[in-house]
Amino acid sequence: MTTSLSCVYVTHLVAPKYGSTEAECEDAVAVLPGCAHDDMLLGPLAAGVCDGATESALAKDWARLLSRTAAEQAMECPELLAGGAAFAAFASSAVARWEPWLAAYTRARVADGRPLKWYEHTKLAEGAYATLLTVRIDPDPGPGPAPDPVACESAAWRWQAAALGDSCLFQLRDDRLLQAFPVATADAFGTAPDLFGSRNHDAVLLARRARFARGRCEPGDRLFLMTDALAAWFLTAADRAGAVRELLDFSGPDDLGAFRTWLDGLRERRQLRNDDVAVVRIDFEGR
Amino acid sequence: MPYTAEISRSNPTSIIFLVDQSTSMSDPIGGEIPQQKADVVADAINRLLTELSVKCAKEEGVRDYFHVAVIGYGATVGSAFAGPLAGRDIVPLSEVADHPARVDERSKRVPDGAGGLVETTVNFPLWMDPVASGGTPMNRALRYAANLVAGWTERYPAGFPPIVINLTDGESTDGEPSAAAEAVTSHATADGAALLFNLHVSAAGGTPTAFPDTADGLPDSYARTLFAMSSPLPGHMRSYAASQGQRVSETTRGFVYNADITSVVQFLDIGTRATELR
Repeated sequence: MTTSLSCVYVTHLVAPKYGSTEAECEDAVAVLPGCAHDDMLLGPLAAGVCDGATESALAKDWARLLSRTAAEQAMECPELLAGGAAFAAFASSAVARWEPWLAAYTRARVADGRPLKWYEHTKLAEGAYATLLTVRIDPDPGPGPAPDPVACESAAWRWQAAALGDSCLFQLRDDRLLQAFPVATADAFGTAPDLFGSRNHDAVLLARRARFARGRCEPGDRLFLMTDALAAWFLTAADRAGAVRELLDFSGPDDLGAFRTWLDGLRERRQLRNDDVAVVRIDFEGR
Repeated sequence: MPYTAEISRSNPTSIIFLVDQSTSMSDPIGGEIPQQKADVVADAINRLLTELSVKCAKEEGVRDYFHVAVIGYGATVGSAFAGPLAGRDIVPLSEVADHPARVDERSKRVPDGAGGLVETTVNFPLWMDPVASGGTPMNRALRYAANLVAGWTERYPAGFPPIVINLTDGESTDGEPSAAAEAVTSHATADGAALLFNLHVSAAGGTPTAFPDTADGLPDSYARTLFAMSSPLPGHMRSYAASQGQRVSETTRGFVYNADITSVVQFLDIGTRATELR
């Protein structure tokens, strides 16, 4: 006997703060496997969400590199999401990718006739900074004997996540909040979250300061990954079910314009801090 | 008056530096290492402008979260910028960053990313040189600043209010400066009154003090006057000062005696701070 087919759909939207261009947006998202929002996913998937720090230069580039590296390595090595040496190894490899990238960037600027200015030299010596949230989701083989191919059409999924800083994961069931990670209350957001520095070679410290969580999703559940401003709005919403309904209005990349208009409305009403926003929505279907 | 307005390019704030350039600034400052007061304040201004520029630096240039004036007072009152910005009052920060009078190189020990320090050469841009001549027309300087503040608050009535930072040895020669200081802070935006902070460089000695909450222990009447003129630190600045290890209370003021004032620009909130894990 087979269980009902469960599959996953993933969509993500990234929008700059009001007054900034898309090129200036310092939030970044990477989802693997790379596929359209209406593709049915049956196998493992991973996502990296990063929020580049306003006060660092090249934060958007570091956020992109870090989110991509996190998603790639979470696909290759799910153990990193349990912390310890595997996470430290990932942290080392992410930092190791920065200097070659920066050297190529610096050369390109010189070739372009725009060598780095004095303040860029000073700023880049300090490194670039970003928060990091990484998630991997796997079909749950469930209890009992080793699954046969048919039984792999699972009715449940497992997720594992690692976070450094205040980009958040929310698990919803029947549109009610089941789990919030790593921040549970809006009061906990500030302007000095833990950050992943592009020049931080102390991988053990990065692993020690990261937080880890796991959970199980059933058909009908949703996961939302959000950077801090939207996460703070969500956690403070007086009518959280209403907030969920508002978020569900945006289900694909074609909705980006409407999403930005909606964000600007929240900003005007001072319900949302004027910051870049990234959101990843993962829907578990099959019910 | 919450001092919570966003500081952004569309909603910038202004910082107006007042620099005492009177003859008495050629005297040495108290302390173990003898330094001319004029050198100390010029160094402080150049480091403050460096800190601000680097704080707002992005790969496509410095963002104009702040517009800046550097006003000298001594033989005259007016712009103290040297080089391409000479004669200008309030200048967007991107122009300030791109137009120092010159850029020196200095050696500095910086973290190597693995817990140690390494000697490196850093750029040290200079926008003004030390000057020491004439009297100390602090009243006129504060009135000049009040005029700039009035223009700014009219232009950005909802923004974070202007910040005036006065660097002096405290001996005003054109009268008691308290009323002129009140003229500065009498201008306000919807977010709060203009802020006036003071750096007192003095040969009187005593303990260097940063952001005190009382005039007790300050060595002379000039220091006590400047303390009384200084605005209380807004709440978010107090919180940040506390997180940096400063002892603060509800009545902590933006006053520094023979101590480093460059940290004050780090109190200004433009978004997520780039700080290394500890």
